[in-house]
Amino acid sequence: MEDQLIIDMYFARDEQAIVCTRDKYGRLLRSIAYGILKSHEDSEECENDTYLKTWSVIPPTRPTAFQAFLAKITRNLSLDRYDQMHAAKRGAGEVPLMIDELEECIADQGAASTDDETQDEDLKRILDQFLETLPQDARKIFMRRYFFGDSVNEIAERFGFGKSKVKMSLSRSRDSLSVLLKKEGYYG
Amino acid sequence: MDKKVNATRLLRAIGEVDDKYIEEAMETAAPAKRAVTTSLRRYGGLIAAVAAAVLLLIAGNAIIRFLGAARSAEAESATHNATVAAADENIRVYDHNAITGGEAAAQPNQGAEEVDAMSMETEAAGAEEGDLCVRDADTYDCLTFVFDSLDDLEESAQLDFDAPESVDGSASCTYINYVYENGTNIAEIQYLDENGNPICAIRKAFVQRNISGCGDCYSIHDRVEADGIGSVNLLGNNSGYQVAYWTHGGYSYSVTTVEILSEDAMLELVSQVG
Repeated sequence: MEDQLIIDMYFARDEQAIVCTRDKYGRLLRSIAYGILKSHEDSEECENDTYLKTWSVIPPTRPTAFQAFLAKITRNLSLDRYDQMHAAKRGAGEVPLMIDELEECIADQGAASTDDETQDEDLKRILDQFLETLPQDARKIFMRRYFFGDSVNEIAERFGFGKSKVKMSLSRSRDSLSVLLKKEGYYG
Repeated sequence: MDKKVNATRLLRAIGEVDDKYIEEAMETAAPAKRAVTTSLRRYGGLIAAVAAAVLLLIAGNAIIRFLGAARSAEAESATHNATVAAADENIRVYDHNAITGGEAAAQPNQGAEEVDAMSMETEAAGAEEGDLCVRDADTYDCLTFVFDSLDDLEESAQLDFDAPESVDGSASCTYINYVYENGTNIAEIQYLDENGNPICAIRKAFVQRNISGCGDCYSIHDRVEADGIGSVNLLGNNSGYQVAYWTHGGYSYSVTTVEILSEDAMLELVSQVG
């Protein structure tokens, strides 16, 4: 079923919209959640939470890219759940590794002085600008690592690259991002 | 502010980037073909020499005859470095310049049945049902040898290859050995329907990597455990799977199908390969 038809069903408050969403994107959403949570049970709960969230925001929101829209919701819900699960101690899986790696982009004394909301908007703009400058392969590797939470091995398998190539690409991308953040006055 | 807090914030912000970058990373279409002439142009003479050496080791008198032809091809490579002719009527040799529409024309050896070049073009197929996605990242840098029997393929690739004699809907098979400039052989059995269209491909090679030729063509990547094999990677979409790849006993294997299969059906096929 076309995405726009599914979205129209949300606007019509037709609960079949959730069934159609699950049929079309359920496995994809579970795989995104699993990349972060490494738990089938938690992944399924995040998937279901995604449908509820989607139901609550459409309408009034009308996504132009439904798949990416759902992916963002699932990712954010998964990170929220991850934070809840590991509030007291450092967790396992890819998330702490991703955070460790992204710390390389940030200087020791690098807090932005603007308020949180403005900072988040600026970060989004800077990240979009950064991604635009990356070669396509490097951009896809960066997104698979830091959006989807894929491991280096998973990325190498997915794209047929060597692991060393993936690691090198990620390292160069982080260096580029660090330079850009510093230039823009963030964390540099 | 703590560096870790900022890094966490950065991780969160990555979740809000433009949708097009998310879709790009999830895209199911195969990437654009890269230029087909790279290695053959750069290493035309070397490729011919390596191919000749490999074949000398593996195929007796027939290959000795081939060697003569390959040497001729090497001598001619200054003007057209992509065409290698085989002298044995049971072996057909193609270069990928020819197969992919490059500047040199395919020249199957005399007396051999010509393979439909379009059937080899499946390497660029996407992930839709109806296509057989057997693209390989390095396919353009190898020579392709087509045989009429599994025995000939096993002898050429220097491995024992167990695979089903037929799959659902297949009427015949083609046996292919991809020989790379570093000496790597990827053996492939292509199952063809009654119209000669490939509907399934099974590969085996003495390497440790995904040899399916598919990686970024599918939105779903799952890993399951199979009895007697271990971990098997399954690629597909929300409807099912079209690719399986795994390593076992030092070899890498892959199964690629046109039809979208259930996990059980794919693993049943996998269990017949060794």
